[in-house]
Amino acid sequence: MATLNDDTADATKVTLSDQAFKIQLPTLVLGATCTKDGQTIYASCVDGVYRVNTDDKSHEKLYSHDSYASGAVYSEQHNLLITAGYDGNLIWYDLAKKEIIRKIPAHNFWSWKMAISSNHLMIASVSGQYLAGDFDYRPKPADEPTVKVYDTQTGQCLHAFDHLPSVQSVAFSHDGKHLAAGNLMGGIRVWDLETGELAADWTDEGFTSWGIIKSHCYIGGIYGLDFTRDNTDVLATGFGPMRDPMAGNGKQLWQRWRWNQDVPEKVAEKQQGSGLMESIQMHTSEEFFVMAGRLRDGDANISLFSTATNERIAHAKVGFRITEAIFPHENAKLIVVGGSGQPRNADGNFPNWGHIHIYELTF
Amino acid sequence: MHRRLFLQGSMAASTASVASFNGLFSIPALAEQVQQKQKKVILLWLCGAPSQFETWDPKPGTSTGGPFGAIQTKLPGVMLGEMMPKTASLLDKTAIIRSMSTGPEAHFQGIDCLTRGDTPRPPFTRPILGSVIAEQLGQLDSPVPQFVLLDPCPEGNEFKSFKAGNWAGWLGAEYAPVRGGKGYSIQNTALPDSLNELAHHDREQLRRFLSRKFLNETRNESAKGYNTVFNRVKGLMSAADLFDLDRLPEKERLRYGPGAFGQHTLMARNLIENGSTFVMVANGMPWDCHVLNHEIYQMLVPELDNVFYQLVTDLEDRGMLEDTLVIAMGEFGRTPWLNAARGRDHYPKAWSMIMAGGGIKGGVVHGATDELGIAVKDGKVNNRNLFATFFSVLGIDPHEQYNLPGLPTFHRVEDNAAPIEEVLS
Repeated sequence: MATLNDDTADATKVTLSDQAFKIQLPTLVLGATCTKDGQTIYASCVDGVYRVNTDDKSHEKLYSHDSYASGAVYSEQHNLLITAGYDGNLIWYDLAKKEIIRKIPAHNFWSWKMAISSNHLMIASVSGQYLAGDFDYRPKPADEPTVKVYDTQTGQCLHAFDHLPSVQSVAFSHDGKHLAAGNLMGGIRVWDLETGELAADWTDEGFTSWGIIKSHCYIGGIYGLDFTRDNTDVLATGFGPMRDPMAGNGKQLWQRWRWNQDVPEKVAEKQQGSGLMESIQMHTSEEFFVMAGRLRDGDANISLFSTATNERIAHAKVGFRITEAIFPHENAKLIVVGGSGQPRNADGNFPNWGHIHIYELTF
Repeated sequence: MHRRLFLQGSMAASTASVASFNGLFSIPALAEQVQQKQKKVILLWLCGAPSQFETWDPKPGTSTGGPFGAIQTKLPGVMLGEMMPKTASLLDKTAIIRSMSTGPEAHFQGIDCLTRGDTPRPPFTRPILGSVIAEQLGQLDSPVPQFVLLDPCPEGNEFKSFKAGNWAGWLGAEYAPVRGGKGYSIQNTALPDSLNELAHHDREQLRRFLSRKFLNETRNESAKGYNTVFNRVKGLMSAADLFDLDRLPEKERLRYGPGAFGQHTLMARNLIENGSTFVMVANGMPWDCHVLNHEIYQMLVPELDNVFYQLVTDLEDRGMLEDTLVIAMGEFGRTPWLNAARGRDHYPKAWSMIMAGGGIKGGVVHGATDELGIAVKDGKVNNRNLFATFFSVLGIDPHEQYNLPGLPTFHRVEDNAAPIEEVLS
């Protein structure tokens, strides 16, 4: 799919390669991680966890969760792959021994997303089942903590935080001192990981929809989070309000919040096209970030924005739903993963519907 | 009063002009029998079309099964979606049909077909199930509406269009539903301060006298319709409390859960208990999850599980289950495969529904789909078979033939379609 580099007044010059390097997997990829050079990708898919070699496009299924695998983080220093699933479990996989070394039932419901701290000492997983809490279907508070932080090496639970279900996104600050989590109602909480105290708590209802048409319930929420590299701001993405959430036609939306002050302040917001955006990631250069997801309408489902001006500086349109976008640490690439619709096959044999696209970045 | 038994009773007692229950049945035993056998219906209308995979026909661990698992039920070897543990505990009282295969693929046509029992056949309009039941089994002169639709959602796309249509068809407006629910709350049912009961009664007597006189002279259909509306309003004024959720016991409200669907289902039970014959509970079209199917079903299915369980056990505890048919279904099922928006699309080819009470045989699972839920492999039935089953269970002739002026010959259920025998006691 061709990419376009936006002609803006912004000084940040980033270009995406016209063509992506494409790899297919048997089923939808819900979460992924990669080695520093981006040569090996670990993909959490509907039917299990895969190791993908980008050199020859080969893939190997490592193991399965009891439901969809939904998240993956990789620690090179510990040679560990840790994955989360809709079974609520976290699985530690020793890449050298090629075996599962730990399995922790972290939640009574799905793990929606997971993250690893930049020093690889902590992982976080977020959960929470949306259940009717009142006549108009505001969410009921959870019976268990919905945000959990674990020691990467020992598996010890370091923190268990409360946040109204469903909690759908999580990110560590880049200095590892704070953790942010976003939920269905557009609520973001930030905790201090040294004290365990709640450091910030705000809600922007622009991320959620109440179904005026068809369904009187809430749909949407915050699906992707990251901190700016200086940790002053939190970036959040999802999709904007819809009159008919069943149409999935909310605006592609991101917001930037200056969180570490008495009252968190929204310092920037952008909307474009429509479709659920599921991932927002800062590039290690600090110069730009990517928002990616599903394209329902518009010219892009991958968009790069300047950190300095918040202007879009490049974009691309791919024909599948992107669930995660990754910048490998030591390579000028952008990896996007996800899947198309599950192909129909009356014989019960479904063709591949998981996708990985890799773009070269020039900046 | 049970309409058909009214006619039978009137023949026996030759007192057809007497409209009160006690007055009509001079033989106490007959009155008791009628009260015992009067059947009623609560339809939990799962509008938008629920996925069979997350509810009544799970396929755990398969490529189409989705992320949720399955659980063992009270029936050995029969599984339900994992979010339905309460319903799983009472499958000895239910009949699940896992082999529904119907035609319409779009909502409006699907709703039309699965509430009326058949696809359109102009020029006549087939009444929906509630209208038929109100006409066949309803109580004459009851102040309580015989057919009630509870739905808090005044919008709802195709369901909104359907709601604006002709519900009662050839039966006439008096068998159309009275609507309640948040978006259709029933207003102005109390007398204004300036009017006392006596004055209101006098005005009503005058209106009735003048209306009757006008009708006798003109045979005007509009005037007849106005009279129906006046009678309905009068009934609603006396039955208004039944539509007030705040008057229901807090303990019961808590059991049914906080959402509008649960609260309205409790209201439905209360209406049935107090004289309504058919109550349809809808909640907009929440089951139409082309987007984020599993993310929305995490909430919808547990709510349905609790509401269905509370209703069935509640009716049983009150001795009403044997005479009250509970139906939970939508207009079709949903695709085995996921679309790119995490949704499941429309799928009428192979889907499921559940019913309980009303005299059906419990512990039944009729029909089956193949390993991936793509096709019906056993016991295929359609909308006609389903409606023939409903009518048979309720003691109504499913194949009654009608030859009405200006209309083609038609039957309550066309094509002599057979009921699902397995479900009949």
